[in-house]
Amino acid sequence: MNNRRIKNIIEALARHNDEDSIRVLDELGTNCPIDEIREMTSKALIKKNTHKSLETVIVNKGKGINDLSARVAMSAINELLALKDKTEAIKILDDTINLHSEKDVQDTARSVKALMSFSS
Amino acid sequence: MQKISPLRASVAKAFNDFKANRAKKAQNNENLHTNPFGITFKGVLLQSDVFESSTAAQKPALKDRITSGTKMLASAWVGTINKLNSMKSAAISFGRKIKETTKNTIDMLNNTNVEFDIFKYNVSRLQKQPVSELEQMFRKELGV
Repeated sequence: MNNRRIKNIIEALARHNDEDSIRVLDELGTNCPIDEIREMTSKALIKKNTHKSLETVIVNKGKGINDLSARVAMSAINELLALKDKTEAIKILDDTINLHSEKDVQDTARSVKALMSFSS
Repeated sequence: MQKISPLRASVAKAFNDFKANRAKKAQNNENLHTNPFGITFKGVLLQSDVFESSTAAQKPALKDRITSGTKMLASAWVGTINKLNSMKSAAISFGRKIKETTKNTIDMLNNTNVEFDIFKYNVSRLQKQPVSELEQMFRKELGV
């Protein structure tokens, strides 16, 4: 496994205009057992800043801000905080807080939303 | 008169001797005319006929000179031909060497799969490729 190649592929998928790139990142990146790749994938999905890509890292349990690895979760949160346009992210966080079935996911979303409101 | 006569006779004798000497000298000068340096050998004055040109004696005959000239020309021509032949063979061997090296390089390039990661995995280049290709590459790298 060549980390530089993987990093470049993930970066290329993050910049790609095709919506299918989100599916590839979600399917291969966020489900990867390697923390580093999950971290890079979460960042790439957040950078895309689309409804579908943000949903993947905010709503799904065990992915993005809900990742079991604190490092991956913190990186995802940092990336969300670094977004210039946070509108879509806050909307999804609100929906998650109000509508998600899992309490843990709701709590995480609430915390992140609080951080985002402080940072903006 | 008797007293004067011996004096006169001696003067006349002296005059005659002088005359004879002068005539002799004049004759010698005439002989020396072709020998301007007046070189003598054992007291004998050498005449110009005695000298012989040493170069004339050593100078080869025209036929010999032509023969030796032809030989020299032939020798120079053979030398030039040898030189040209050696240059020709050197040029041919150099050409063969270049040809062989080029052939080897082409063979090596044909048999080697040269992969430049810097270009192949360049982000700008990758993002222009279809997602399906990127997915395949991603899977390959992950070993999935």
